[in-house]
Order: sequence, then C-alpha cells, then structure tokens
Amino acid sequence: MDEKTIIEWLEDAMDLDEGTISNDTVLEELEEWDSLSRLSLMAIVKKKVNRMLTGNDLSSFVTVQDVIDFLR
Amino acid sequence: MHGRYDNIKIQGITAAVPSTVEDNMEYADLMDPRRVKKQIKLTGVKRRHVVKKEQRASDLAYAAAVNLIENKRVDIHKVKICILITQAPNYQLPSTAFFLHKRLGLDKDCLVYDMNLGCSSFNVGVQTVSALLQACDVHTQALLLMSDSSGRAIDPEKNYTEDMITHNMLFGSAATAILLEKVEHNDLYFMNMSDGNGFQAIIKYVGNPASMDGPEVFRFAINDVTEGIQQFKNLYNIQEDMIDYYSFHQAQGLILDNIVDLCNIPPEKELRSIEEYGNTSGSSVLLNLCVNRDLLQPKDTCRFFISGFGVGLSWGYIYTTIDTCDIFPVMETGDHYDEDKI
Repeated sequence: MDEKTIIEWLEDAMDLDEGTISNDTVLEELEEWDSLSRLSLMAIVKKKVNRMLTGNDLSSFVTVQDVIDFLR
Repeated sequence: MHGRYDNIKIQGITAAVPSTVEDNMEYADLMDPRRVKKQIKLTGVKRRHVVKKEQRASDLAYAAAVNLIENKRVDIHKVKICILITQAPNYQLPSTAFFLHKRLGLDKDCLVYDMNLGCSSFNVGVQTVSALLQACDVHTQALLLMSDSSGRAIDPEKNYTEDMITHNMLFGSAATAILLEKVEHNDLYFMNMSDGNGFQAIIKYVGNPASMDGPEVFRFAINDVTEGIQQFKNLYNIQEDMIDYYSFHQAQGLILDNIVDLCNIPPEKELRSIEEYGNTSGSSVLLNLCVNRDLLQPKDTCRFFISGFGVGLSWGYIYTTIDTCDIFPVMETGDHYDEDKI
C-alpha cells in the first residue's frame, strides 16, 4: 500500500480536503481526529485491505507516518 | 446455541414511540456544527423520538402492548406468559413486568418477569418464550415486550460533554410488543451467541451515564456479527432466495453499510429506519418492520432474517415467516403513568 493512498484514506476519514495533511502531521493536534474519524478509518481499512484496526492500534497512532508504517 | 422450533409463530407486532421528535441539527447549538453534520452522515440518524422527563420505558411498553391486544383482539385470559425486556426498569425490584401485568389486567395464571438485555432482546426473548411455550397446550399465547428509553430530550438544565452529545444523537426511544403463539406447525430457526469478554464494551455503572467503546463495538459488529450470519445460513442451508427481507439492529449507518457489504446482502432486501428513529436498542429490529410495513404489504407473508446485536456482548439470528397483516403501523404516544411514583 503506497503512502499516498493511506493519506487519502485518512483525509477521507476526517473529511479533510486533499493535500491538507502530510507524513509528519500530528493526528492529536487535528480537531478532526475524533472518535467518528477513527471509526471511519476502521471502516475504510476493513473495506480496502480487510484488516481490522483495534482501539489500541488507533490510540498508538501519533503521526500520519505511524498509520503509514502500521498499514504498510 | 442454535436450534429450530416447528410450532412457534409470531402472530402480531406493534411498536410505540414517544410523540416528541428531536432533530439532530438542534445539537449544532451545543457542539461544533461541522461535527454534528459529520455524525449525522456517519450514523445516518437525522431525527429521533425521545422521552421527556416523566415518560418511562414502561409507558411505551404499555402503549405497544395495548395496541397489540386491540389490533389482534387478544383474549387476555389466554395470555400465559408476559415477559418484559428492558434496561430501564421502573424499580430495582420487583420486575416492571408485574406493573404491566396489573395495568394490562392479565390473569394470575401467567408467568411474569423481566429480562435485562439490550439490542439482542428480540433474539434472546423469542428463543426464551418459545422454549417456555413448549410445555404448554397448542394455541397458548405469550406477550413479549421490549422497551428502552435511551433516547432522551435535551435537558436545558444539564451541561453536556461532547461524549454525551454523541451518545444522545444516536439513541431514540421505542417499545415493541410481540404476540407469540404455540401453533400446530410453523418453523422458527434461531442462533444466539454471547461473549462476556466484551462486557465493558457497552456498560452503565449505577448512577453514571452509559459508555460505549466505539472501536470495540465496531469490531464486534463487523467481525462477530457478520461471521455469525454466514454460520447461521450454513447451519440451516438458508439460501438467498429463501429470504425476503433482512432486519438488522439499527446500531448506526456505518455498521449497517459494512454488514450489508461484507455479507453480500442485496441492498433492496435490507430494511432501514435509523434515519427517523435512531438506535432504539432492543426494539429496533421490529420497529424496522413496522416502519416499513407498506413495503412489505404486497406480500401476504414474508420470510425474515432478523438479527439483533449489542450490549453483553450478545448477538443472535432468527429466520422465520411472518404474515404481513400482523405487522402494525408505528404509534406515537405522549402518555405517562405517574401513580406509582414516589
């Protein structure tokens, strides 16, 4: 999975415009990284790559890069 | 556990909701409107019927039960079982079912108690009542009532946290009532599953608001519930062309979309009512039938696949035939009974 796609998923989950976030964006600093966005990301990841993220996985993500590393 | 009853029929279904409707956009005054819109989009809940302070789950259960008794012209002397499933009882003791037994004027020759379950109420309740009816004579009737009041109107006196608002915007209040009868022949297949490891996923400690572990509930719905659908179909060789409609617990839109997608369920067969009623706990699977009755009416009978899942964790499946004339329109009520209040 290339990182561009994963960033798109994150933007999609948080309802952000394309190009709003980059690898070093700190998720916790984004107001949009709320419980709803986390569920959205879970759904997207499940649908696209048939992987189920857990609550612990989600809490361990600090930056966008962490999500990329985890899913790659 | 799973099994088949060959002598149980659902002979009537009614639903009652509070007459007060809350539009979720009203929460834009209390929380970032962007987040409010996002939640509406994700959960699919636009409006909910909510109880006001004085209206209790037992008021809704009573309204649904009376509606059922009237519509089906039930001879109340023939009702030998009356079970209420609720997580919002009137009292710590006795079971609220006794209060309803009195109000409905049922006979002493009747088994009465409450069960404590949420979104899987229908599945566990039908299996329980069906088992109880086995020892009775043919044509013995039972009332199974399900009622919760999780959907509450905004209280202007209260300070709401974001979590509380998120919770509020999801839940509606409703009661449903079913008339179950032991008959000569009718098939009802069931499977019920439980996982106590998830007892904290949805939990309400006494005196505190309910809390929900969103990711864990989502994982459960997507993994366990969808797995069970296939397992249940395989067990009883239930083919797609043997199902007219599916009614899933109206947990939230995102979960429903994923279940339908993962199980390759034809979207036109999946009934939905979450937009106008929200998540109504144990009543949602049957409220779903009542809301969509016009769609069902062209057929005299429908073969339903019904699945409730949630707090426990508890989840189940029922496959059976119901006559569409036995599914009654949703009624609204603002009534409340106060004489027992202290």
